[in-house]
Amino acid sequence: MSKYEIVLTTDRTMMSNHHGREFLGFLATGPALGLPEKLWLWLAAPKVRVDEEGKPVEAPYGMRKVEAKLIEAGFEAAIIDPDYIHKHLDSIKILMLGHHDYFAYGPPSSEWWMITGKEPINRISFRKLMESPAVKKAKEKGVKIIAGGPGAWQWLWELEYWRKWGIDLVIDGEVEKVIVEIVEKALANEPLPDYIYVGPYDSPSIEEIPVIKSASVNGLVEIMRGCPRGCRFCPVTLRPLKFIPPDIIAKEIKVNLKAGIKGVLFHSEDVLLYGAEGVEPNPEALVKLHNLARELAGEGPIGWSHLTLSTVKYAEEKYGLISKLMKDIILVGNQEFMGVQVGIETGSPRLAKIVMPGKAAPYPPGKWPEIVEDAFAIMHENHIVPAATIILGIPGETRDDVVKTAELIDKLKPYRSLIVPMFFVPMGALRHRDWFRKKHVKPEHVDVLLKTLNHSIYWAEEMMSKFYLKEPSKFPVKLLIKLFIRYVRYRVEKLKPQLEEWLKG
Amino acid sequence: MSILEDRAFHVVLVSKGNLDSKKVLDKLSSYSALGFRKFIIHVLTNDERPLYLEKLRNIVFENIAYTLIIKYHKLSRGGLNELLNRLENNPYEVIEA
Repeated sequence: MSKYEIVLTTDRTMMSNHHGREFLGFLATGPALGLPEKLWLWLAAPKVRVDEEGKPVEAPYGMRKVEAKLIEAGFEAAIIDPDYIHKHLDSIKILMLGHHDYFAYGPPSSEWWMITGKEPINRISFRKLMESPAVKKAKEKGVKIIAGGPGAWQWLWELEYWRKWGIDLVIDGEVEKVIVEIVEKALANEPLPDYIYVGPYDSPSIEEIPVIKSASVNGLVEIMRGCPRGCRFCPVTLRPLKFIPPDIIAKEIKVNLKAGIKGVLFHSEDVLLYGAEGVEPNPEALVKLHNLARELAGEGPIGWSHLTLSTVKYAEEKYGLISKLMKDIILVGNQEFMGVQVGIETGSPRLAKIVMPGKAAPYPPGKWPEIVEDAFAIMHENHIVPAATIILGIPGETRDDVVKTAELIDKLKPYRSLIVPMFFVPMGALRHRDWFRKKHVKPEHVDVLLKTLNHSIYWAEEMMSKFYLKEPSKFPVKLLIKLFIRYVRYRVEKLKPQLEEWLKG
Repeated sequence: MSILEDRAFHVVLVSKGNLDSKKVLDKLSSYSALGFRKFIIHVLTNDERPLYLEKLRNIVFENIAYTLIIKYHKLSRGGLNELLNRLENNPYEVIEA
């Protein structure tokens, strides 16, 4: 007999540890290419270990925060794997959904969808969850459904699904301050608003953010929230900047290690700005933080979620900080490399000045291409493999801006990295602007797409042979990825003559 | 004290056709100058729930600074009076947009 009146869940593409490799999770943002859908889903998002109640050992970090907040407020709340919701139909009163990309409108899902004309797996998977017998039964018995997370805004573009699935409330933004009151109202059957956007003034204080109670996917631990750089396309920059104190970070690392997670994955929009004064890194705070992680995790891997390229260059050139952290603390034991997400966004100094003037700081935005190249060189030397994004179709972009981006990609050839092009999705301070659509694609965009593809295929093959998925147990995953890379190369080669013809014309 | 409604300004939005988002956003901006950072938008409309939100989309996406709480009410004279009675002790403005 279940006791949980509040069940938090999401679909399989989110409820997974992606074989312990976050990069593989991105496969779920595309449609199944060259593989059956089931196999593709397994590759991107295998099922996660659960207990007898269907509680996953690892779950998305944001959902863990909400779960912790509700538990601390005295509710019987738990994250439940989507395959086990039926076990809680007797007790459940509120079903809470979380997602990064409910309907595949975010980057890069929307781009794969546009290019291939096929629905991405994450969208299909979420729809399957909502139309599963367990969710339908829950709704029939009057369970309230509340949807949140970074992809909450997408519901405003899918009002028919909202109505069909009986969503009671969609909430967008940092919810720690308000979620308990919302749940109290829902449990008391008081009317709920339809939509809430939590603005920066209602952002929670450090004290209001709870420590997670159970493990997060791949040991992810938030070290700061917000970003001081103010890029106009980015929603994170709207959140007030706050640093999580080391003692709280240590508590969360311990929660993860206790659950059997082997490593620590620091999450921040720019890990190197932990404890920073503006964009001036704080070497002492960073070294302490990494020593803390190393001490707690033993020889387990330490990872970073995101970096800003200007901080990489500045931190290394001024303090030698990248080499220090990598050689002295991170690359000890079995860890040979670290993957991290970075944003190039554009190779055009003109466009950089307009939409992301703070991203280059403390350097001038006009130097952006040089900053990118220098940072890539530093990361290459230090065994950091960036998965870098490029945004095509930023409002105000000219053909010349796209050419500059293509030139920059050429300069990045010698550096081990993946470069992922994304089409502009209206978010952040630009969220009122129009989407980048197929009709806007110009030959220069196709040139960039081909260059990124060639770059990424080359380095992906190199990494597969040297670093990635070396454990014997990961052999099937490795084999499938190798086959997939070959398939992509074959398709690109086949399409090349047509594309080259189009580029000329 | 409700955290959700604490120090909020209530906008009673009577929508009979297409919504003038700019008019609403200008109002939010003018009240923010008085110190309000949270707006509860009561939408009175004949449109169905949640489809009425399509007309609110621009308001939501144009805003990044304030907390917005959107509530639905079926459009009727009685409903409007009842809502205004409830809001008696709160700062509010009725907008036809």
